[in-house]
Amino acid sequence: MIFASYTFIEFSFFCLFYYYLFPRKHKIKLVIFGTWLGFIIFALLDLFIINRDQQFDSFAIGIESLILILLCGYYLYYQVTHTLNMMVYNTFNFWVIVTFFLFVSGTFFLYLLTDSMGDDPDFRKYYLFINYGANILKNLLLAFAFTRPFLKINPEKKTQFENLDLGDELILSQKS
Amino acid sequence: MNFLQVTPGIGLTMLIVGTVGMLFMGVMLVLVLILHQKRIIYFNHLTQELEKEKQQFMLQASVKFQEEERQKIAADLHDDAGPLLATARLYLNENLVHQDTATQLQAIFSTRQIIDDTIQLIRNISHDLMPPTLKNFGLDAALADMFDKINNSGKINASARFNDTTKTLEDEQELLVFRIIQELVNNILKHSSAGFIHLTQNSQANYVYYRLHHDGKGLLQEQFDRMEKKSTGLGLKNIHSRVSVLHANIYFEMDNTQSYYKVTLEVPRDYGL
Repeated sequence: MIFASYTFIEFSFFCLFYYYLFPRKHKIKLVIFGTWLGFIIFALLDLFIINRDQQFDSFAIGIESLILILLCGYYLYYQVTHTLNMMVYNTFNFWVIVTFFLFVSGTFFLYLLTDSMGDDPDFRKYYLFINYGANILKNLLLAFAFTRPFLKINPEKKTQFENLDLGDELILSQKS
Repeated sequence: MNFLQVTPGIGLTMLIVGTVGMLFMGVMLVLVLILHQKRIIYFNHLTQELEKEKQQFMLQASVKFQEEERQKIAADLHDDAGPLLATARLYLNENLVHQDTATQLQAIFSTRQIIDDTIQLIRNISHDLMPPTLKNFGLDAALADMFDKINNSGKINASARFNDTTKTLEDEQELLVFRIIQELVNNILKHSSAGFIHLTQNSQANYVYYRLHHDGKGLLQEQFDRMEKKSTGLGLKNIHSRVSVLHANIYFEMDNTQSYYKVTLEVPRDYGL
């Protein structure tokens, strides 16, 4: 139940973050909402009906991972094809998406096999190693994303001759 | 019921190979996308640069051609048409000596007057095409001369003030600036119904500034940007072309009191044409 709740929350927050990455009225927003709703229904069915007795929701996590990999892949593709004036790695969103992409890729097989091999002592060793490794990588990348000073888009342009004498006062004094 | 039924040996192999494989593919995918985007941006920049160079070349060629033509016409009118007409006047003078009847004299006097007017007219055209003051004394003198002439016409109160009199622009730049200001002044005279027009020149850092004030009906930046794109309005197009060639900026504004319009031309000093 705890693992299932974690999966719901993780997937929901990711979908929310992903939803705001795209411009308004983009078709992908509808797809994200549909995917989120579909996954939540599926995960609930899996939790309470299909795999009621399971210790770890491997099936739901497997599906979640595949969806996240596809969504991250689409975002990266979208950025590469739509960002022509700056490199994609100069944005905060890129690093967050790459973090999730690598984390989910790295832990895909681990979580997929946990339910069936969780009792194997050798597997447990690998589980700890891969899980901690993936979490450390995720935290490092997220720390980088949050601390790196990213480029400002559209800096304000200001004229250089605001205080130069170009006859304004003379004209105003003549007028008055 | 377990989701995957695997034996421990196969499961561990699957875990290691799968995890390493997925991570490797993930990293490779991100790298490939970044490299691909780098290439796209590189080619995009290259295309933009080429396009910019082409446009700049076309603009320069067009403006240079126009100026060369004007100078040629000016030279032809001044060097050929002027002396020819002057010679004709001399012949008529000669004839005057040998004619007796009053009517013929009157006709010849009239002809001489017409020829004098023609000489003056051609001289004026020549000066309009290539102001001698600009060529001989520089931009400030040419602009001051232009404003004096406008003021002396009595139609409008025109004045000019130059704060920095050191010559800092190249001859080609001066000619372009003169043409821009000439076109702006012509537009103000033709369309604005202004009561006064004032030019102020000043410089700061690497830029020379020219600001025109007038109290007539003027243009704002948005209107200028819209109108210079239209098929009509050759004058505004010429202003835009010359501003581009100079790598200058032009600002159309209205003052805070809403009582007059101002046009500011910002010209970089060391931007080689």
